[in-house]
Amino acid sequence: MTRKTVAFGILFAFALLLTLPGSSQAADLKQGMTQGDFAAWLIKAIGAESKLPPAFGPEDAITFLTQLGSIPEGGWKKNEEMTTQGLTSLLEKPEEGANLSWDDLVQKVYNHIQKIFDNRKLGTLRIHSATPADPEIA
Amino acid sequence: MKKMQKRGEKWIGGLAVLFVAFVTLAPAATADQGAPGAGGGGEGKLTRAINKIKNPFSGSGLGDLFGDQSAADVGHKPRIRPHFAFVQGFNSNARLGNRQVDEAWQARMAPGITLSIPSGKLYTEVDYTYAFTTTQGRRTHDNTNTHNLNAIARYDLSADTTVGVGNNFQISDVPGTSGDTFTLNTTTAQVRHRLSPKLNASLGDAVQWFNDSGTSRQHDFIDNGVSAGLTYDATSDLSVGPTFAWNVRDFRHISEKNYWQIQPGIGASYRLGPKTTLGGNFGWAYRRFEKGSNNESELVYGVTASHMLGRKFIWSLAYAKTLTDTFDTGFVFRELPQAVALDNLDRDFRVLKSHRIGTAATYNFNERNSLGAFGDFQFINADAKDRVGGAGGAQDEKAMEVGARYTYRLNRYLSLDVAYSFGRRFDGQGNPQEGRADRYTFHKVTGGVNIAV
Repeated sequence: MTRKTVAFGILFAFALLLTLPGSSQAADLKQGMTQGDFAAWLIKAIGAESKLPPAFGPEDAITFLTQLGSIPEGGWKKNEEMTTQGLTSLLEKPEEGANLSWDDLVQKVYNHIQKIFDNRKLGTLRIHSATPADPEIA
Repeated sequence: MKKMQKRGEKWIGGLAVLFVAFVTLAPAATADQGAPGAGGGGEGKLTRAINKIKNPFSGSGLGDLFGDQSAADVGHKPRIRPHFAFVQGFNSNARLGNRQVDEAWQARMAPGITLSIPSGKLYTEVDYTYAFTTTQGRRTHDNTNTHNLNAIARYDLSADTTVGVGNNFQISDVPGTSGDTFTLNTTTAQVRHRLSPKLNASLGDAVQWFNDSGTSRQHDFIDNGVSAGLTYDATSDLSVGPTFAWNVRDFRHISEKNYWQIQPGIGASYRLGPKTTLGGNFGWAYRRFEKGSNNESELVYGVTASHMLGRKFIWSLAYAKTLTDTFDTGFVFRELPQAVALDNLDRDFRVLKSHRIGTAATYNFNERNSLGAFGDFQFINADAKDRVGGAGGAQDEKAMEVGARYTYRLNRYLSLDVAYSFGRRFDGQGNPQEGRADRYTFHKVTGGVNIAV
């Protein structure tokens, strides 16, 4: 009973959080941001927050993107600036990023990594594997 | 049970209708054509009607909630994402018995919906997924309903501090039983703080409880684990720091199994080159059971490596030696796509020393086509004294699973995949299933479709 009460309490707290009014704050996406912050932004953009620890940081975001196969030229350097060259190298076809503005490049990178992430998600929803026959009870 | 199935059928029906409505009435443009949110293609009547309703968060049309977001929208606009997955396959040994005489068709249908609401420094997300799994063979007939509710909230207290909480609640039939259900709830809280530009700290707590209505509630437990870690960036390529974990597990009815455990250690990651990352951990696990003098003291360690070859091929390798509990996870809503059978340990409680090595590789031909492969080997051993609360001798097991998967993305909403996996337990000496299921071989072929808005 206590456990159920705790569970419902947690769900209630979440419901309360969801009802909080939205406040328009400046976007944390901006030219000159570090690669670590950009990686964390990408996680939010592609909807992968639930795949990482609740208070994930840039290191977790970089590890996740590396697993997806998204690594900028020269590798992820979390404290260095995410430049247009870095963004271009994240595209499937870097030549398509030539002459694009930083904003346009961000949009293109976001689209590309969203697709890679969506493709990988399919693998996470497979049927449950067979369970051992009649497990003995301790 | 019947009630649960009926409720499940209602949910699946409702979600299917909702999903079909939005897939058919949403703008026809795919993300392959231009930027998300750019539209392109005609709007259905329902979409236009929904857009007329203003949502309270952004002031824009309610239909925007279901649409793609532009980069500028990220972190500002709420989003609703219905999703649906269907996988069907054939397994040559559905119950992992010693003899391959139990082939069966398996299918899983999983509709769900995700609501995410960013609100300034606060991000909240709730996902509900219903899954219906059926296994039909000459000897095996089993239907399983699963409800999974996942919620996360993340708040940026300052530029240096982030707080996050999450809760996952699952209620499900237990596969292979008639009428038994289980509930599994995991609540996680974590605080991350940047102490200085080179030093980060993390503190987390996870509470988990498990109830199984069958088996006289012998497996019911509640577990509380606290973990803390520091990470110091020694150079731009090397991070290193200590970790500490403390864990208490109490079983409802069998107090012999109750224990506490501490695990101090050290972890490091090193960027060997632009596309190569190495990681490692080394520590000591000490477990003390509430009753008796059966304590465990083991060194635990592991290494990981990931490398990108060219621009399209990502490869990883991992080895870990761990001290682990047995826990039948075959029915748990699973995130890992790989080596499922190896993660599924039976319920005969014992403490296992596990050595596991795995590798995975993915080749992304382009945004539409990708091919992946994996291989996992596991070596398990346990002494007679490790079988706490049960009888039996020492245990020595060797098992493996390998597989490959091809994924094709038809458009923004629809992906298809086919997969093959082969698994084998070579040796099951001392396994509680000895003589019936201590050794197994299976081949599994699956094909699936995944739809996401």
